[in-house]
Amino acid sequence: MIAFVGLVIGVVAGLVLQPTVPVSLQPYLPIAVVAALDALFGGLRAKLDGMFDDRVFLVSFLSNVVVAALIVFLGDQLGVGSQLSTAVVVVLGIRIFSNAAAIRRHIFKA
Amino acid sequence: MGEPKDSNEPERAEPGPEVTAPSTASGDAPPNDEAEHDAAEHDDATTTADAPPPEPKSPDDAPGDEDPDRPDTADEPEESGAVDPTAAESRPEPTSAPEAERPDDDAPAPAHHVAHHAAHREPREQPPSAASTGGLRGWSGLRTLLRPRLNTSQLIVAVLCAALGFALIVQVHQNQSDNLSSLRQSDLVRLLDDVTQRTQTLEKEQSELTTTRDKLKSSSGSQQAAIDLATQRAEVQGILSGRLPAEGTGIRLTIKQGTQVVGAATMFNVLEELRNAGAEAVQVNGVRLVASSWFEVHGDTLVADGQPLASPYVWTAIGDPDTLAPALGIPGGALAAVRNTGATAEVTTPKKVEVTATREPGTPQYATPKPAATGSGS
Repeated sequence: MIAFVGLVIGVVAGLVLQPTVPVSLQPYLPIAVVAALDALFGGLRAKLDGMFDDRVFLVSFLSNVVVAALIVFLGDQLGVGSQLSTAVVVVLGIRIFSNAAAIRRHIFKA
Repeated sequence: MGEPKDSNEPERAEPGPEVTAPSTASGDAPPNDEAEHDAAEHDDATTTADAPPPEPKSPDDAPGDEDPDRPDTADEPEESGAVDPTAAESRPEPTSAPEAERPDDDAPAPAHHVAHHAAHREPREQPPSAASTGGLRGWSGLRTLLRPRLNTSQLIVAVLCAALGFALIVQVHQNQSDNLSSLRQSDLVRLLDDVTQRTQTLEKEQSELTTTRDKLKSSSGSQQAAIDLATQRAEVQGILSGRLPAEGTGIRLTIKQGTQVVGAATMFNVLEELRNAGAEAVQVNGVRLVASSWFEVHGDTLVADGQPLASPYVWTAIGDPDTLAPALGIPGGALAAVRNTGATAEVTTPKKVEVTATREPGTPQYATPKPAATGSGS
């Protein structure tokens, strides 16, 4: 519940402050957001599975973000930036879908 | 306890990082489990296993409602005194786990577990609506999830969620506001090439259109110039030919006839003198005098261009008064001849004189315009 409140607070803060992203961060922010979303869905599923651990959640959240950004950065340096970015997004999307399916099975039992 | 846990892990591995970690952690837990009932990281769901055997939870009691039974487990992610964490974990996946779980029962307090399992088997075998298996099932599970709890882990999770929400909104805003700055170099180069090509096409079209416009403008401009020139010439010709009234500086000459009729030649002399002095428009008594004008005397009446004139004859001539007036007054000139006939002549130089009489120029009967000479024509 507190987490949900935190999410709402973050959204409101983003809407109110409307900061501009520094140029150096701009290519990585969307990937980081998707990776964080994947971690969030994974945590939600773990919670519903009864296997939630906050430490695990924290570490996975941060590591997802860092690894995704690193992969994109590496891809940019190698010259395959857009392809690697696409690949990362695809994989994260797959994981989000599977986590969402598990959550759906938990909640709706269907 | 290690192996049964490992057998569980393949199922856990697929769901995601958070799920795999606890299962590995649970692998570490078993030594403790036998010692204490408080393992570090298991759910309320797992604690349900520890509820006294004679109290299988009512099917409607979601595992999450276990909290009242176990004060330790007020924090959901923390202490679950799961005696058999594996058994508890297996509950979320009853379809796959149960068989794997049964061997587990031997490792920790076997009798304890057997009793537990025996007790819990029935709830499990009840209709699927019995959400008493491990994990949070159904809407009650969601309700459990949403129950507010204040502890460090929840705060950490809340902070992370806030960061996620913030970054999400920022990225959405960024995406809406400015597209170009977030593109990669290769994309930008491609975009630049497209734009450059389009620019070249448009510039070519623009130069073509400019040429066309200039051509049209110049033709119409020359046409306009020709029209202006023709208008100007028409005015000049009109004044000179007597078609248009004119005004300007000049003189007014009044000749009062005496007893003798002023002769036609005398009158014509005056006209010639005026012309020699640069008069541009001349009229007498309302008759415009032009190149083809003539004077005649019919009996006693002076006739000019077929119109009879009566004394006093008022001449109006437009020109330079300082030239016209002295020219008329030359000794032995036009006015002298007029005075010789006994008439009086008086010259005035008003500031502005108007020659209002007009005549329509007639079409030449015999003369035709000579074609423009090309080279040395005769």
